[in-house]
Amino acid sequence: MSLLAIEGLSVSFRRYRSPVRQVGVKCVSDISLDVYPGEVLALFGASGAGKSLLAHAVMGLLPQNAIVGGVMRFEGRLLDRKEQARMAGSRIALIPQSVSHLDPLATVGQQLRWAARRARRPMASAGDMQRTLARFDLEPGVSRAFPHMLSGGMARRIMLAMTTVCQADLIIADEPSNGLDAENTAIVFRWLKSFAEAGKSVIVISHDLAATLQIADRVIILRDGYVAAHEHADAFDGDGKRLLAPYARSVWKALPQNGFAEVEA
Amino acid sequence: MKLAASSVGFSFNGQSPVLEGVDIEIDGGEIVGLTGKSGRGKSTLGKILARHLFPTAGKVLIDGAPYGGQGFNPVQLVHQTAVFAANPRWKVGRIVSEACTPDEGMCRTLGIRGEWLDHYPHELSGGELQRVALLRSLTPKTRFLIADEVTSMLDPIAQREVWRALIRICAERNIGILAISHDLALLEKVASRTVWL
Repeated sequence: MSLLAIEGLSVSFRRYRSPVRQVGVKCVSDISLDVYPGEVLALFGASGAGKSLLAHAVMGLLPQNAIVGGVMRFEGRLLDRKEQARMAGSRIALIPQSVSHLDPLATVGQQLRWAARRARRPMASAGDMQRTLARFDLEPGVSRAFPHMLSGGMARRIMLAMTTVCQADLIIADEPSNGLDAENTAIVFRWLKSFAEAGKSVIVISHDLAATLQIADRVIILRDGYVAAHEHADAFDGDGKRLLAPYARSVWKALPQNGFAEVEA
Repeated sequence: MKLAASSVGFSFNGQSPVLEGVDIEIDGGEIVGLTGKSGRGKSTLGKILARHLFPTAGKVLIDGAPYGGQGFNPVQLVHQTAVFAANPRWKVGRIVSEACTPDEGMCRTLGIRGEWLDHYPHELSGGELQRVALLRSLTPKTRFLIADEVTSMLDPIAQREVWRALIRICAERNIGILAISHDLALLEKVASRTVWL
């Protein structure tokens, strides 16, 4: 059974054209997808294609003026507002895009303890903290650091640590390679892959196709708010003949290592 | 025309140097790649060439003469995040014509659409706004462009379109480009040679 199932998800925003005329601006329409335990699903798309909106819809983090349609299920149970509030931060974890999502006024250690407490798995001892940090090659002293003292790679590893202290089953990583060099990207991706190998489900949202393909099992390509392609990761190979959707092929061929070629889709 | 840095060094407030004894030359109409691990000073070198920072040792010259005092700077810098380079309270039309009125051919090559001009920066996508930032920097007086990870936030298709445009403009206007990137596959496609820092 799929861990997360999304059927016909749509997201639109209420906006005022004039003081009395309200219009709905549709941003995501009719997205259906399933994520299974033990797999990495890549969600790829140009900026503005609706990738992050989808993640925020799953987490229940959309702003007040959003209208959400469709059905989401987690372990077969309807994922409504109430269920989202129960699951977010405990069974479902989001690794946000940037360091600015960490609390600037709290130390790393405090924030890790909060994450653990939110998931109702509080950290009992200083040893717990040290072990958590050590898993991600972080010195024990890092727990006393404030977010602005961290490099981008360290901050990303701390956010990974937060998802492990809450032992979530579904991990959504929003642009995990943004702002990281190749070495740190590889470290973060290796961790995400290891979560899947341990039986969890991982959704990686990224515009960096080449990097994501190294760990993804399946790839969903969003374009202007709808699903433009649904491919197996190993079909992104050679000249892309095994790709089903023309748009997937044109994205693949546009990569510099694949010829920078122009293919109409 | 030749933009040249010779034995350039740089350090912040007398701390250990970020750059030491760096030499680099870019000819007009040439695209030179610059790569290296993060923290090696790629962006710092870019800023020095564009006179946003001044070297603590060595010189940067165009055809043997200093540049970038008063008036228009012939070396323009465009970086990764276009939204930080745009005044959020100005519409795109005002942003692109800050230095000069952009000509139509350039708009066409870069794929700028007329309706964008009436939008605010946050209403455009990252790829659209990066084209706007490039259009603003590529005035008739621009001789060199420092392109610091200009397409690393873009999807592969947008990346290809932006670079195709830049390659064309570079050849047509004899503009020299320093392409700073960690993506070696990209530099192999767009640059005639690549320098490691």
